[in-house]
Amino acid sequence: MQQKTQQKIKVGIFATVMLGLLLVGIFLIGRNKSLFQNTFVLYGTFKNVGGLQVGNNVRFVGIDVGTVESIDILSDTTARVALRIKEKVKPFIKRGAVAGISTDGLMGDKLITLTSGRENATPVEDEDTIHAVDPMDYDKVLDRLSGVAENAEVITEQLAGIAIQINEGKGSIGRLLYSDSLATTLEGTMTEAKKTVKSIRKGSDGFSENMEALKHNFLLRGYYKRKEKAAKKEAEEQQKEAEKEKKESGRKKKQNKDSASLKVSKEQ
Amino acid sequence: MEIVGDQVVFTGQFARNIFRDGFEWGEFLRQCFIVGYRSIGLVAITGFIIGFVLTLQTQPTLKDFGAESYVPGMVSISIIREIGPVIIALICAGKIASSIGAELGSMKVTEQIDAMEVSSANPVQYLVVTRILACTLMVPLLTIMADALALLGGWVGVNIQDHVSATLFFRKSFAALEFSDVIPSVVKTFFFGYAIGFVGCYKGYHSSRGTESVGRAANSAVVSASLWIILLDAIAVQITNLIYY
Repeated sequence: MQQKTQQKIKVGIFATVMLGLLLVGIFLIGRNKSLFQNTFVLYGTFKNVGGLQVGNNVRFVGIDVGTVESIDILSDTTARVALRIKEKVKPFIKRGAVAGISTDGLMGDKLITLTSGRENATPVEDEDTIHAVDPMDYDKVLDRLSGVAENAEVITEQLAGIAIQINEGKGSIGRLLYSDSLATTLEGTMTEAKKTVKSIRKGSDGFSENMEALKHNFLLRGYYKRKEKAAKKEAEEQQKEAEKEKKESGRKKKQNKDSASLKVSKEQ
Repeated sequence: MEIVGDQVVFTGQFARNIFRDGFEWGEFLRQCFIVGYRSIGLVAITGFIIGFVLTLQTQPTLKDFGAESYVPGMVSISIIREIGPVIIALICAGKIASSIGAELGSMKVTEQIDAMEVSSANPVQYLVVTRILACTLMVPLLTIMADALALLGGWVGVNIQDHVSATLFFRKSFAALEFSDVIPSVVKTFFFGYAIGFVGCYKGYHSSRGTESVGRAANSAVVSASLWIILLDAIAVQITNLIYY
């Protein structure tokens, strides 16, 4: 009889503990879904929800504060998303808050991110509708990217044409790189230029000889002598001035020395 | 066809005897003790190791994808939805269905069941109803325990290579779960339990008169119960998908 009672107690404890575990599990899952907390509802209307699903998280300042409760189609261009949010964050979400749809990580789920409204605005109320920003439409981005790619294709085609022309020696750059006649002409020009420089040098040598001869000519000799005398005079005057300046500075130094020695003797 | 008809009749007898006066509470509790309490050790070890191994196997692959943070969610969903209920039911089929089949088979061979019928005791009510109901109620409880221990095993598995706090691991595990994961998996374990008890009792109760038929009853009880569990699981998945998705 005692054994039977023990068996009953053991079965009772086992059943109670396991049912308790199940209840704890259900409570934990329910808590994540905000089932056992006070909540309120906000609405946002989007043109495109970008794959958002019921049950996705709602994030405010980076914290999960609720879930997406439902997504209903209002018209052919708008969908209304109902957000179930914890009551305790209500004071922080101001009117003018904006709901956007973003992605959690690289391969993650979609989620709603709430950004706070103006600081002085009043907090939102239950069943308010807040502003919503449509998610980035990847199709549009891809469209633009394809336009860019087309342009790039045209540019590369043109560049390839230019390169072919250069290779074929067409155009000024092509001729510069590939034409031999240009190089030979340039060489000819250089030798010509050298010859010209030589003949100019010869001419200038002859000219200086002619000038020497003119200096010794009786018609112009007087002019050159006068020029020499004027130059000599100028040089002498400059020398005299320099000497005068030297003498004056020597005197000043002496006077300074004398006055300094007088001061020393007076102090003594 | 004859077997199917026989099983339907047996089910009818079972159903009639549940609500008949004189329900054997004492025997029912004794069977609960044998089926449930005495299987705790086996089921606990199995559950813990399932979670542990599953984590160790999946963690490197998810690490390669940089999705290591999905380990708790993946472990919890796969164990609670599918692996936990099915493996624990198969373990119970091996342990419980065979023992019921052998017990009732030997009672049949030794004509104890006939003796009960002669002495106007109701053998179906005393032997079959108590065992099937005990299995139906205890297998879900054992599965809940195995699921909890599998999550614990998963946490230990993660902590072999990295350090993850228990709070974070269990928070992420439960964040990944929905009621649509837990409720159908708990409901289907009742059916698994019923299948284990029913097949064990049927095979034992209908064993033939030879000594070797006891062994055959035990053997075919395990095989049939395992097959039934797999079939019921396939049906349960379809029904769950119909209801929730």
